[in-house]
Amino acid sequence: MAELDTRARDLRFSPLEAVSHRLVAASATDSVSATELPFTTQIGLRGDASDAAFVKAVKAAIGLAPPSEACTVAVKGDNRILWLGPDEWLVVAPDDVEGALLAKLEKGLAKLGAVAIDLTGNRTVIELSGPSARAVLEKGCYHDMHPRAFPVGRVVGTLIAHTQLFLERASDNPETFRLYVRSSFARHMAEWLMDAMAEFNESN
Amino acid sequence: MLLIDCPYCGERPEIEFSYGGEAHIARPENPGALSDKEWADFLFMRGNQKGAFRERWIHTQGCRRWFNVLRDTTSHEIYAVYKIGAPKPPAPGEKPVAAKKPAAKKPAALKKGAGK
Repeated sequence: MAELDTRARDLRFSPLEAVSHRLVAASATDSVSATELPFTTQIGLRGDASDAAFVKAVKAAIGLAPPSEACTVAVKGDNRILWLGPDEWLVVAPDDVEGALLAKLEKGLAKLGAVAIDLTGNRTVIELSGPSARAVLEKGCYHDMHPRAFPVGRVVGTLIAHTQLFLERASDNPETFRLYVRSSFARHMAEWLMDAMAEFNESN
Repeated sequence: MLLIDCPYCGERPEIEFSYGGEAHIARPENPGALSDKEWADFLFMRGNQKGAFRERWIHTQGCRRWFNVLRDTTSHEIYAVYKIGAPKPPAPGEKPVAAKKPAAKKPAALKKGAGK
């Protein structure tokens, strides 16, 4: 895929762009804030983590080895690799690098029976942070948010407000969560979050 | 709500999983050679035990992998969770499945002290 030209960049809009101003208003508090991280590059990886050639090829392309430990995230600079399953990962990188990353990955994985596929746009990312972020998520999520069950640098596939998502606890801040929500569910998730956050907004 | 110990992700709430019915039902090698009754038996007939029951579950919302669970259908107690293809753990009161006997004759190269 060619890099986006300026015109396409001007025309595109993210799943939560229409409610971004309301997200800002709902975040007017010190206790919890939500923002969309739009247009992140996302690439799905399938391969065998015990195959040294696969790990080496991914490392050469992304600068990171796919984490072999369940539910962990590997981070280097702006690039992250999320563990999704025993042979499945999601590469997350800044906007507009999917073409370059895919070309490098495909070249390295071509003969290994491993797959890299462009999933950019499948999910958008909502970053929820602040001292009350955990309390907000606990209203709609059955997963144990206690640090002993969900420490920093972890990612779990679970449900919040009946919606499947990958929930990452940022490796650098236990009060920051990233919600990888399918684009078509993003509005529902944002509405649910704004409602759940309302009680923490003192200006209400 | 059950807590199911996914063999890949660890303990997770039941809501993340989907049920897949009785485990260890092998698809017949040659369906065309079966009578209608035999085919119907394979398709529809299940043990429906009261007590310890081996069943399949999939971690739909998490790692999306199938695995087997040994669960008590009356108390919901989960006795064991094991990966597809792994040896069956014994149910309570059941004799452990004996490990397969090693082949009578090992290849010479694998014998202890071979090559010395």
